[in-house]
Amino acid sequence: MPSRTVIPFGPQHPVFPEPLQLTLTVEDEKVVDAVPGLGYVHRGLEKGAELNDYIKNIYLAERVCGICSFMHSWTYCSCIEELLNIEVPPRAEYLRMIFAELSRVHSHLLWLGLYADAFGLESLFMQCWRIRERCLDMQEAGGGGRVILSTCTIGGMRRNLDEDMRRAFIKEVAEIRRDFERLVPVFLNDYSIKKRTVGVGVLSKEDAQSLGAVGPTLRASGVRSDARMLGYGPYKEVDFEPVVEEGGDCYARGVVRVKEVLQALDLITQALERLPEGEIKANFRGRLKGEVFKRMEQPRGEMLYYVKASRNKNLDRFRIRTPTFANIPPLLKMLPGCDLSDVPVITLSIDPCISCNER
Amino acid sequence: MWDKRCRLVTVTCVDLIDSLELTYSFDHNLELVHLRVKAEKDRPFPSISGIYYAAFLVENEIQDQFGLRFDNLHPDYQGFMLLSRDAPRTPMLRQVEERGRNEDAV
Amino acid sequence: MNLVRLAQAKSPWVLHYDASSCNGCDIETVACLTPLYDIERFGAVSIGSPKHADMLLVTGNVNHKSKRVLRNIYDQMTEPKVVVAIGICATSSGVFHQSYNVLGGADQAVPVDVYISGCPPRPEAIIDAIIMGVEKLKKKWKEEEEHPVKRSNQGSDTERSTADVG
Repeated sequence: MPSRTVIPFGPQHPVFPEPLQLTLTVEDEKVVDAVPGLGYVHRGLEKGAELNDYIKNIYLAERVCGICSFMHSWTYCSCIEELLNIEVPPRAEYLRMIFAELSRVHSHLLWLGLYADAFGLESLFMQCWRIRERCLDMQEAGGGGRVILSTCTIGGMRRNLDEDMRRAFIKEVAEIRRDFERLVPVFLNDYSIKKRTVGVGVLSKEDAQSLGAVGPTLRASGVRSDARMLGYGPYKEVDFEPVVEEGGDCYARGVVRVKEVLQALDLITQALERLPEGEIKANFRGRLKGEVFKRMEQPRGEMLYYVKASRNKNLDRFRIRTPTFANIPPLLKMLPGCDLSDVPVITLSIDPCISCNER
Repeated sequence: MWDKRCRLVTVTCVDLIDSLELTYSFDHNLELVHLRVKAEKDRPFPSISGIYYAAFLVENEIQDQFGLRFDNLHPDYQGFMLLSRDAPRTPMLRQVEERGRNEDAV
Repeated sequence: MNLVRLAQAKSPWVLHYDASSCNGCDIETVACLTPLYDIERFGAVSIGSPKHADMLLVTGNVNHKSKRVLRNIYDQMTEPKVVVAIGICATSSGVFHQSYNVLGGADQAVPVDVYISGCPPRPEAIIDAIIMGVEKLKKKWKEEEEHPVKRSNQGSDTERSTADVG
């Protein structure tokens, strides 16, 4: 009769930069049950948004998460734009897409680095983060901040991209691609990475769908679903095809993210080349009324915003369903049956963003 | 919804002062389908976590924030998933004085 | 200052804990470790165990749940120790000051020695804060050498006073 032990994993753990707690029940070395303990990063942001007026909420929405902060401000602004019937100038939409894809590149590079660190390849972690610094430099040049840009505003963008900057961006993207392509074979073919990830934490296609997985976790299980296929913003005009892998294991989730980095770099180049001329900000007035659901694709998956207002300056209800929130049930499905030493890799493979998750 | 292989996106809870409004959002081939239900504040509401396991997180969150109890919820954190024991209870419910301030702003 | 202390001042070991930040400060803290900023130039090493750490980097404001964890980590660190509050949230809870679950800055749970502002602060600022933390650490070592008994009394005093705040 194997003995059962309960191991608390986290909240302070060297693998995660963020506090996630998993209470693991293990039989010898096999995990049999996992229960998440949340709330270490819960700030009550949804309530805070009801206390502010709707223009101040842009800054609050950006601080849902520091990694994908631009996506949050874009989604929030487009919710408000839909309620106020604002026509956003095409140049602003393209600029938004450029920064959104840039933050996807830097988020995936960040994740690939942490992922490499989880199985001990520290030099690969350093390489990924070195390339990522180039994206941050681009964000700083074009947006004004390294991590939190505050450049997206209701009706458009706050800062324009001049012609010199546009050319510099195209060149820089090509260089990031060149640097990153040298790392791609490592992630795809390296023996030790494959040894740690192939067949670990398998999530079947049926489970992924029924447990509500989103983003790369869903696409790695062979489901062709990406909120960018909805065609919001300029995504309907650019060449876009979601990356799908069949394996459903940690390796497949890594491959999806590697390919998405290359795809996002491609999308940035397309957008920079087609960048239309014109205004970057529309004027607006009026009061908010009604309710709106909006979905967008974050680096970690599909995100849903719900905004309800009734002619007040304040919102009646502001709700965010973030991708990590949807990916935790699949994680709990993946963990039972795995080795204790694989828990960090599997947990990281859903790209947990706890500050999104708990808001 | 389960039979049509819809994916549960989320459940949104809105406080309508006299009752709570729950909106269940499902995704079917990239289309959102919403189901809207009204729930009474002090009566337990049936949980869907038996059908959609993924619903347990969001139902626990609603239990934390709005104080709406769910029947047959598993795993049930008893209203302490996000909040700890010493945090304020049911923080998302609309308070009367806050409502007064909102109306002044119109 | 003895030889060991002299060497320790050249290599502070830091522990990072995210109390409840939005991730912005966290990734900037991690970015300090990476090749462009490379905090190992100053000998600082990021480690996972509180027992080994000289310095605690706190990002984000303190909420009801993380307060206990933060306090726990702080108590496990060996004396003397320095706490650096990174970013405006850890200083004064920033944009989240209205929220119901936020108690305030990191000083609500542990005594803080160095504050840096910014949302998020740039990696240069974080490196600067760590260097300032080392200076504080040197001062504490010196005090310890001069008044070994008095210092430990002072330590328990500050601990008690912060416990009262919570």
